[in-house]
Amino acid sequence: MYKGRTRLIVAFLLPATLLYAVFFAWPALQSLYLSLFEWSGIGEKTYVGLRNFRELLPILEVNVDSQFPFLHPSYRDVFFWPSVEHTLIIVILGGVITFGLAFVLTTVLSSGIRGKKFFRMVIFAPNVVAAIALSLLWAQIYNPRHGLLKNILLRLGQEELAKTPWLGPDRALISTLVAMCWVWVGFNLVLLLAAVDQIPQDLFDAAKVDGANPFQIFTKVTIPLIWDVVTIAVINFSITALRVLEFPFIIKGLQCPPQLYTLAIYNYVLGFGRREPIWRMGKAAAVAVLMQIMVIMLILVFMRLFRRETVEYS
Amino acid sequence: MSQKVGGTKVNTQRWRGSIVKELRRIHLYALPVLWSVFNIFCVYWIVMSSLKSNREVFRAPWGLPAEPQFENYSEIWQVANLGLELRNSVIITGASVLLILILCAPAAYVLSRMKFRGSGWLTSIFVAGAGVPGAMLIIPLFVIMSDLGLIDTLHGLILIYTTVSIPFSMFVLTGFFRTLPTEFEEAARIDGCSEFGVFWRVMLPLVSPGLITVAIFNFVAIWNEYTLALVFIQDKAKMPLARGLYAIAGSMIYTGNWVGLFAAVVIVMVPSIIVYILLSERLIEGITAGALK
Amino acid sequence: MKTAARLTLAIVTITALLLTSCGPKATPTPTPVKATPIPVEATPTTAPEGITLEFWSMWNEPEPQAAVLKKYAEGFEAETGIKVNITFNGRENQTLLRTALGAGTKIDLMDQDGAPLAGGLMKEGQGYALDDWLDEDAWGEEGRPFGDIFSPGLLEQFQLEGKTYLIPHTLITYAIWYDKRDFAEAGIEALPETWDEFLETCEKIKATGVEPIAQDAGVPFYNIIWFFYLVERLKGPGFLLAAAEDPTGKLWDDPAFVKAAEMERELWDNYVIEGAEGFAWPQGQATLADDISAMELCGSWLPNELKDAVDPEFEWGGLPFPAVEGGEGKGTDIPVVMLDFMVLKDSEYPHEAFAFIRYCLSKENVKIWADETISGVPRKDVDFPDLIADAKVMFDNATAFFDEVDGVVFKHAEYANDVLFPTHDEVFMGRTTPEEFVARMKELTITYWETH
Repeated sequence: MYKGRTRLIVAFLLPATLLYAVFFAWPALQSLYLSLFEWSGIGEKTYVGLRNFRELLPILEVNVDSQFPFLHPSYRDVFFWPSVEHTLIIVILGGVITFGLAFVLTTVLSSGIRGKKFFRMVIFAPNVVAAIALSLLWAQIYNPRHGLLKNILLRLGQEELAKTPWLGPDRALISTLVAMCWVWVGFNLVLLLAAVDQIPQDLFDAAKVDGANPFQIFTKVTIPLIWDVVTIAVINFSITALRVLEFPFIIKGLQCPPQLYTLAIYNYVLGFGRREPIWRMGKAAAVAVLMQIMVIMLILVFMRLFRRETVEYS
Repeated sequence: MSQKVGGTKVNTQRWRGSIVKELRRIHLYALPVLWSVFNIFCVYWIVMSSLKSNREVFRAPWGLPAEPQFENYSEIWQVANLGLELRNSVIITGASVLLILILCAPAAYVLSRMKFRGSGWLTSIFVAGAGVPGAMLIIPLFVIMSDLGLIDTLHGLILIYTTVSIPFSMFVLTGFFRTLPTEFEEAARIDGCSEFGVFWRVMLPLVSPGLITVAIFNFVAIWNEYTLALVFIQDKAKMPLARGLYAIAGSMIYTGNWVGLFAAVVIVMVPSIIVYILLSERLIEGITAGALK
Repeated sequence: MKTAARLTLAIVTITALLLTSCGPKATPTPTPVKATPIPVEATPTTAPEGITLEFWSMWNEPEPQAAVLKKYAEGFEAETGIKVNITFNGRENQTLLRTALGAGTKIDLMDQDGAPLAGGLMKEGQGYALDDWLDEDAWGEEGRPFGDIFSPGLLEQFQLEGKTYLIPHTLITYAIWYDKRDFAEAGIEALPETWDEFLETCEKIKATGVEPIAQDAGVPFYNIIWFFYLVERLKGPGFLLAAAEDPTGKLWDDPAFVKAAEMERELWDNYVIEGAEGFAWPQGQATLADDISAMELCGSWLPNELKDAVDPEFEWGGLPFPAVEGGEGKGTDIPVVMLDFMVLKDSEYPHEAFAFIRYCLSKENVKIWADETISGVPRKDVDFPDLIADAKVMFDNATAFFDEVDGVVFKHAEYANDVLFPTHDEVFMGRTTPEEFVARMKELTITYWETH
């Protein structure tokens, strides 16, 4: 019996593990190792130790002569910390907005109203449209000359507000975040609805019979039973949001402005930027290492926060 | 309590009851309806823009096209070889999604239901891969693929897509597998089912919502993927649709042919929507089947 | 049984799909034939059979340039028997080449924007030096050296240590492109030649209710055009580069930089279309096509990009950037931007690849390029297309060439991206003062050079 079990485990695990090891883990490790080098992507690699990290993270350098011993001004990278800040805004604020709306929509759509399948499909639809089309769409919505948002605000009599440059330096991040959340809500709505749909109807009926009001049903029945999927959704969202690149990169057109730099964008510009051939693969790898650390920390935090006994149906 | 509707007593109790029921819920409809109207408007805008002329698309972005230019579509179809690319996308995406399910479902099952030494570690290693920015893989992966002679091949690209989807898919599937109660497993074993039978006949069908979720999400992601296709495929006979769209977008923006770009976007979008609609029906069936366990 | 049927179907489908996808592997390398250097006087002869050149190109398949290149490849094969296999990668061409070359892929020829190429693969030593062959005959012109066909100064622009690696096929400069009808309506008879005259022109346009200047302010490398032009006009070519390269940062104290920033700001505050910072490209240039604004400072690709969006009666004019009175740079100095070919160092057929370059640059072929792609061309005996004829005039009258952004982008890409562009955007869009701008540039220049 055990022998059969072991054989099964190996047979089931081997293909995925093999593929993953050869085509993913090994290249990933190589590229993360690159962070200790200075390399243009072709030709010689030069070992530089932790220099790339010191360039990105000034805190590692201690200069006792300076007024601020822990922030040696020489190692002040222009984009790294802003990228971290933007990325965290996207993850945290974006997460709150996305899941707030997704939960509300889940509740509303599973409360028995008509057209649930239709609404779910329409709200999910942006996820199947190419990013280039979505970015052109939102750029037009935010157009300061004749954008949709401007027209709506004018019709509402808000002349001052209508003049706002939504994709200008002050607001580009938030405006882009709104557009991204618009897409993400649809994605997570599908996940959460799937989870809610798995709950047998008799549990809801039983709760109603026991006299529970909708809020109690939501907190005592729905949430606990979908918690595992919620965990998956939140962790997946955090990782996706942490790595977000395409949409902020292309929404302003030919070049990504500094206000929209995320960690993934900074990584990309350092290693693969087209117009400015910076070509510092080592520094790009260092950014990737730091991103990886952030992801791992996120996963650990979430696993801790979300750990509880699995609730099973009786 | 009977109510007057429009001043006349309505005869059919049930009809009155259902309207009243929906009216009381009208506040619930507000958000989904508004959201849906906006989304439909956005799709409408993309489609309408594809039928305009380049002069209109920036001057009158929100109106209807003066004269629908269907030739935008035929032009794009010819110029960009979209028929062949569509075939390639179907093959690449279909094969990748199937391969992902075949590889990841068993692996996820084993990692989440069977306790053995290192199962936690292995799961974490799979999932942690999600943090690696795709761009970093390109250079070392290219060397590996080149050494294996897999550059510029469809099956090479399928292998890559499958592999990079492993972290997310493993994550979701282990999650779904973990929610299943152990009673079914035990019952099946008692009934004399082999280990494989337990997986194949009992656990896998139960987790079909998870399988379909993973399938849909991977389908959409791979269908729209162009960065890796750009690196690993040079032969234009092997390019998928998204890569073709990238070429079209690249050329349209420099020649100012934005309407052609929109036409291409619509062409790429339509199969995704169809697949999603079809699969989401299966999702419902899968879920109801699962719930009736 | 349903499950067995499903499993069988799945396996059969996958196998079928995978089998149908098994195509030929990446182009096999033909047996190498050592290319013998052809003596200078000889005209090109048919090379040994069976050579295929691998050409990776920056164009996308649907672009007109791709169509013309394919024509060239056919013509070249007909004349020499050498096949040219072109892979159209799009603008990411150089980074794709970098990946492929690193893995040992055989590539003979490429093209890309000159500046990034110079700062990228050329700087990395991946190019093949072509100086020995520049005296060979131009294609179809016996007795005329190939190097002679170019407008003076072009081949020298991107030389590395005195050697020539890049051969241009497209020539671009920056001008203030304007709507002739708007100028006529505003009563502007003579084109402005100095900055003060230019400001007057803007005033006149504004008085007619048209926005004087369109700007895609969301694109940092469009915003910087004003700045590097003004610095050049004030202090001559090379000054901005010197300031960027100065590790002490002292050159940023020069009053010219504050002046340039102030001059730009005057434009931004008074004449640049309102709301420009909220534009996502190409919304800014679209205002030019939509008759809302009258001028835009941009590369000579602009009329081509907007040709479908403008009215049929639209008439393009190209105004050379005005001179600044008292400045060291002249109003006839122009920035030169090129798109170039490069032969790869590890190519097995460098001479054949160079022959293809010579073929593409024959007078006839260059004419085709100009007409069908609506681009400027580097041959001095071929005109620019009518749409951008004013740009050719600028080249003919040029007193000096300088690089876009004075070469800072390709010589110090990270400095341009991290220090120059973001800091300049802030002052250009009115978010910091010129004095703050200069102070910050000085500070960042010093810290940049401490770590580079």
